[in-house]
Amino acid sequence: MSNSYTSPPTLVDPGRVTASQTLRTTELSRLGDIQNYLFAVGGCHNVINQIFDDSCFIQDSTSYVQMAQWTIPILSDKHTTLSINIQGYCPTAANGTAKIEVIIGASTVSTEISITDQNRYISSFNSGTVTVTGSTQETAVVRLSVKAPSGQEVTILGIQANWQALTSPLTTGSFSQGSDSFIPQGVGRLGADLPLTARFGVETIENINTLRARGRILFSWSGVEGASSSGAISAAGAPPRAIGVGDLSSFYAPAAIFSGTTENQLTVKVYVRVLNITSSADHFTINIMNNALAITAGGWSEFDIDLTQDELSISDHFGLSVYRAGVDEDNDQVASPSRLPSATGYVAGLVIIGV
Amino acid sequence: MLIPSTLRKMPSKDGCYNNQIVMGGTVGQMASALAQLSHCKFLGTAQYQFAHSTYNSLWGGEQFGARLSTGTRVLTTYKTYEYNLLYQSTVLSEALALFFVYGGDNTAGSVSIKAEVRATGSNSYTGTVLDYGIEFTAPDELISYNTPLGEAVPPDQFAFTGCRIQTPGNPLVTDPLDSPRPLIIPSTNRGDLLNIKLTVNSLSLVACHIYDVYQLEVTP
Repeated sequence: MSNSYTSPPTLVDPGRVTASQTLRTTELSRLGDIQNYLFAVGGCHNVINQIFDDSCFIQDSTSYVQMAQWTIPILSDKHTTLSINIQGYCPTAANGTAKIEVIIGASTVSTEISITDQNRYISSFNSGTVTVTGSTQETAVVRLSVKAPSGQEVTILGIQANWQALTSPLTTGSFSQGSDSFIPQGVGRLGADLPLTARFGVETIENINTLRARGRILFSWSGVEGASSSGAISAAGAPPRAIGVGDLSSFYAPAAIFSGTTENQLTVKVYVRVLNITSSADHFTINIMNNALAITAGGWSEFDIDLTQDELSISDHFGLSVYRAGVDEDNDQVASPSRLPSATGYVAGLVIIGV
Repeated sequence: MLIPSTLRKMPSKDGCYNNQIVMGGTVGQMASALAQLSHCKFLGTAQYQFAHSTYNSLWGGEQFGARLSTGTRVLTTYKTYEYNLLYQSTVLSEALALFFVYGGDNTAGSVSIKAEVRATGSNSYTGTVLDYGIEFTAPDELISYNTPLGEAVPPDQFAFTGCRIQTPGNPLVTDPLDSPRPLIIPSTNRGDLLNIKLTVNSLSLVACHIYDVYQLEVTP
């Protein structure tokens, strides 16, 4: 028995398995095969993606400075390798270094990536991987720290990360995805002249419900903390560390949210990272996707939100129900020019994870 | 076959227990739900926000409001200015739609965005070109303003390739770039890490969102 899968996946035409049709082994084995494919591959596209203009994300410290962080979904307890690609440069033969830490609960695993280019996009980006212990948690935090060689400055131009897909065949046993489970299907058991078990139908329905709940990034952004350069701040070292006035008209991504999400008890979750909360006077409310979220603590806060927005007109182009996934334009407190990040709590990171 | 986009509620698993007659509708729903997952939900996407310098004379080094600040204005350096956006494609990434947020300044010269797709062999920015790509220009596909460099703020505008898949009209490097259309990924490169190379002129990019194009109908 092998929990193998075919890539690209082969679909089952629903018209071939309805009433009065002969149920062929071709369709049954494809039903098992595609479940394995979806568990292995589904959601292994970008989970972090951000670009920084020249001289923004810059560091001259020779020891690591924590500069950015994102919340990402954990696909399953078997997806344990995160691939990270860093674009950057340091104008010297000595290399700057980026450290990526993946934090899951109390566990932190890291890798260091040497930045080899000496000018903006001159040659190549640099890659690394972090291998974590399989976890039943739903999210992890990814933290980026940077250090420069002595007397130099390192500039980060971009970051991209994704979970590595599992290879075929999947291992045996029950897998975890958060608090849900997934049972891989032995494709050999779905061939001709073999008994079709009730277990296959039950597990298929449960597997589908599990995969429907797997998180996918709808919007992701981190501010940049601790930038430092020997140059004047008017020329270097002033990346956005907070969102505020002027940001809100376009601080979102058009994202598909599928009809039936609420009816299937699935949720869209918002993760807000807030810094500089020292007292209740620093508390504030941020409006995200028609939900007023009360921020009363520093660090990452998690919210389940109600889906009450209208679709964007661009839905017609996508052929999908597309919504404004991000910060609402109507945000009096976040957009207040009197609430300066130096004096009160501010949003330093925002991630929206849908299903 | 049609690819559903909705999450239709699954039938009860009790209907598959021993001693039950499994209805054709139940198996049909399994097939539809799996197709929705593979060809709709788990299509690739990326949401790139572009950080610019936030420094301005009003708020100094407060570092917020990036879109209103000096850095978000169209700098003189934004002439044939490149960005390389890394995109982990899927084996179903046949075509990529691009959605841009930008500010354009036509006093500095012609305003444009070019986009092409490259392979990322050896992590190189100059990998093999997979689609020579497209160009948005003002005033046909982009809105630009007459705002002196560094003195005013072009408001955020939006540009979109649409999702109608077309055969590239520029298979050679010597061909002119196509008008906006989704970028096409050759079948041998689907599932690879791709480089969406953008080149801007007299324009400040605020965001670029990338989507695998959802296709309503496919051949099983």
